[in-house]
Amino acid sequence: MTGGAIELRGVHKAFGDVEVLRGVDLTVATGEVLVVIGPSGGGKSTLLRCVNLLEPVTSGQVLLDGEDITAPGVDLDQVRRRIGMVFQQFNLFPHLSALDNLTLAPRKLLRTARADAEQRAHTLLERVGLADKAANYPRQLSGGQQQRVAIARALMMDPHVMLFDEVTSALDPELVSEVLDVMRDLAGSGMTMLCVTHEMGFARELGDRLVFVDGGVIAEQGPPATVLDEPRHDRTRQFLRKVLR
Amino acid sequence: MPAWVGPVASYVGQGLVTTLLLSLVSIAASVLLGVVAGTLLTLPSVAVRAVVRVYVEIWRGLPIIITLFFIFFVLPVIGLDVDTFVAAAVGLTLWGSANVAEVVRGAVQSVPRGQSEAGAALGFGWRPRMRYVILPQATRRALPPLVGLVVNLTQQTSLAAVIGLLDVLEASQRSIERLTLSGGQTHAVEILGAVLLVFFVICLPLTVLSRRLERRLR
Ligand SMILES: Nc1ncnc2c1ncn2[C@@H]1O[C@H](COP(=O)(O)OP(=O)(O)OP(=O)(O)O)[C@@H](O)[C@H]1O
Ligand SMILES: [Mg+2]
Repeated sequence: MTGGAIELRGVHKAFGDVEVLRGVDLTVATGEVLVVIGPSGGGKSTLLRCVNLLEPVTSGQVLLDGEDITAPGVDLDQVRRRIGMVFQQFNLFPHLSALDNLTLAPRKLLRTARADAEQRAHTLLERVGLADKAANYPRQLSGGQQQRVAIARALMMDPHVMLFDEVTSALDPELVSEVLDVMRDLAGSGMTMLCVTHEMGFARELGDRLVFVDGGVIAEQGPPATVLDEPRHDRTRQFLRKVLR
Repeated sequence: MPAWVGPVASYVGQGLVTTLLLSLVSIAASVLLGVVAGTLLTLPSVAVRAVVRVYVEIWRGLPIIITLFFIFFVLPVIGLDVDTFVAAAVGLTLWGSANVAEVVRGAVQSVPRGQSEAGAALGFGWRPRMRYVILPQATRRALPPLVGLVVNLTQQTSLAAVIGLLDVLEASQRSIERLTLSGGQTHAVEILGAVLLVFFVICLPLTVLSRRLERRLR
């Protein structure tokens, strides 16, 4: 599996009069794992949602593998198939079994035959450690299991890039590691990943680069160990003091 | 069995057939139109929503009896003659579809936003997202109130008697009058009792079904 590349150029995002992103420039190289941290309300989720244009940008450009996906006339539904997204609240489809959650998009969007889609789904469920849960409905799964199904569901579309928005924040502490294991496996396979997280251990271990987002801009960035241990800005230092304590 | 029962039963029976037919037609048309209208109410387009909203508010707001009078007595004035049954079916459908539309809109909008976003993130456009993600979930939420509406619509068909439709109620009333005129007893208790029983037998299972569905959703 090889990842794709992301580039944000001068991205602004406003909700009404409120400017949430105030000029973000960011490059994520193929196969890179970028970790995004920052205080609540700083614009991390908005930044991530601008990458697959769940939030249309107010100005600026987003490039996927060099293609400007904010240009007029771009088929967003096509573009989003190349970008997987995993949410804090899992957002599995409650009316479908784990297996059907995985096969829905390939079957309906790519017209993959049911048997082929299911075979691939079983492979991916096994990869996330849920081979025996294919028939379960989301409500019959723990939070950690649901989140692993959600990751597998995103992988079904063979995305070039994966976006993770605080995917362990809604989990009981003992369930966090099973999800991080899956992300570690994914990072090892060369996937390009953008991860918003509060798991500093994960950031340090797997992040190739860490960006600190505050007030709608990238306030500081660098190798995770450097930013975490020797933050250069006061805001970063204050934030880290609070979360690391 | 007393002699009066046979003729009355067959007369009232015909009325019952008319009532059932009217219910079925109105229910089918209301659900069909209402699902379309309700879905339109969830579209991003403000213009579309505004037009459908006017339709829904008018026909939901007007008492059915006034709508029926309007169709049956006012339309002929402008040269549109309508058959009693058609007038009744149209009037009930206007009311029914407006109410179904509201139920459908509410159900669609009660599906959490995250569902739509998860669908969009996978590459589903608006249509497949509605079809495969939102509507299956909305249908479950809409079912209990929809069954309630069906019961309500069945009950409201008796209003068609006011524009002279020979439905079960009108047939009963005429039978009672006729029996009275022919000098005997009215037998109102027996006849209306039977009508009451019929409505009860039709509506009770539906009411129970609605409550079951509601309980199963929790
Ligand atoms: N749809 C929206 N409409 C209006 N304001 C919004 C919307 N989405 C986000 N915001 C605002 O944008 C700001 C940034 O929100 P965002 O969710 O990106 O922050 P965050 O860094 O992800 O925070 P958290 O750590 O709490 O998830 C917040 O002030 C939020 O209220
Ligand atoms: Mg957030």
